[in-house]
Amino acid sequence: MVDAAFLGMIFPLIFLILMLKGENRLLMAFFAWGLVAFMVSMTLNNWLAAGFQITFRQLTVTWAPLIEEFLKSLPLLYFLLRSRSTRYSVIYFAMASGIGFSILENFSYLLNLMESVGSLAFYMVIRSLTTCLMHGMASAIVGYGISFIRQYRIMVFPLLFGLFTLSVTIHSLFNLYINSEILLVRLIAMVIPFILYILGLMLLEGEGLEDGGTAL
Amino acid sequence: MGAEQSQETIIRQERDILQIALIICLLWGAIYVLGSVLFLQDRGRLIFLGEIIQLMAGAFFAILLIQIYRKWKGTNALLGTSLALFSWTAGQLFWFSYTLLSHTELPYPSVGDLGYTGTYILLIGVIGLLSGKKPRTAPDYLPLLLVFLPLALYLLGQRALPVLLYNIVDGITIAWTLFSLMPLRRSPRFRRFIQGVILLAATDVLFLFSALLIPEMAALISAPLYPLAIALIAMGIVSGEQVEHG
Repeated sequence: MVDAAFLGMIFPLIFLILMLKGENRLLMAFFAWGLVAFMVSMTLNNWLAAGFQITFRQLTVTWAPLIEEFLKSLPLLYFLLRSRSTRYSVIYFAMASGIGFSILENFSYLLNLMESVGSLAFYMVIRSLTTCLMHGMASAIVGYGISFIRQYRIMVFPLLFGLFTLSVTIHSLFNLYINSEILLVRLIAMVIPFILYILGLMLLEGEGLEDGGTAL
Repeated sequence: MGAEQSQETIIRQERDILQIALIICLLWGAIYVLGSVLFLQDRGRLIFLGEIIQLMAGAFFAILLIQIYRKWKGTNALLGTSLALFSWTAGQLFWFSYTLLSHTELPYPSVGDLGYTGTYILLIGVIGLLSGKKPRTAPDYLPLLLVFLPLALYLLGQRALPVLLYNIVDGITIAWTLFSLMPLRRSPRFRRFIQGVILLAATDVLFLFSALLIPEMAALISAPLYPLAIALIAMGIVSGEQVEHG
């Protein structure tokens, strides 16, 4: 079912991407990549769970964050090679990939719960305000690192890997909390994306982190 | 003139806060060691308390450095150090939460360890900035091997493959961090920062060894040292960058 939803979204998006020009096209391409990244990571996660008898907790807390953050951030490496500067900050492209990923993930959860009685609107609102924002912000962390590298041309690999490990750790922490049986812990999980969002705003406020040239 | 004075006051305020926090961490370490000797039978509670204090120290210094970074603007090493401390805090929070929520030991290696390793990777970047190295300078690998070899030989063949691999990665990262500190070692400006990084590395190595030899004591031994190491790193980077900024 999810594959059908994916196809139903990706083809119209391809038409749009082909029609757009410049950075608008690139931004939509990153959004579309988010959808592709979800399909690939879902396949890998399922394969890992089936092939290596990994428990649900191990999968959600350890493997899924590693795979998902890696795949979402992968196209951002393009900005390390691109010599021209971009009008939009790399963070926006990173967030587009993360948000694209989380939208399809929302669909997959929705399709799994199709049999359930009653409206799922509230459930979707909660997921969108928490998990979607978390996916967007976790990718934005890596995007921030790449903007920084492009602007100052410093600490290329330490920042890249360091911020990748940070985004994976935060994602794992979120998954650990959101799957907890304790309500208070689940509530804390819901707050984590907002804290990240506020920290991100704090960091970017007045900084004018515009994109510079290539880093490599 | 007035703006300069107020800027100086802000810097002094932040330095004072950091100094007080450093003294608190030092006192806490001393009290914790004393408490460990007196209440050894209550080890579980002591470890729990130690974890909370470490978590609070990590979060406090990471947020404080972000605030100082925002005020000073353009001190990239300060931002890098703050991110390194955030990574360490995230790793610590993961470890603490996992054991608390699942009532089991956190498997080793885990995502929490990724946070700890990320700290060193970010610190390597910061040290590179401080020592003014060119990014493409080819490093001399010989001292790195000399630092890491005894550790690798000791760990070899002791545990399962993922543990062994992670220990090697962790060992290399720690050794690389210490190795990259070498050009800074004679700089009085970053003396405290260097002391902090060395203490952090030494505490991690101590933890690694004690986890192999006396696993039930590993967390207890390292608990008083981590907050002190983090405080020294934070204090050191602010003092060093202040010379440039102030």
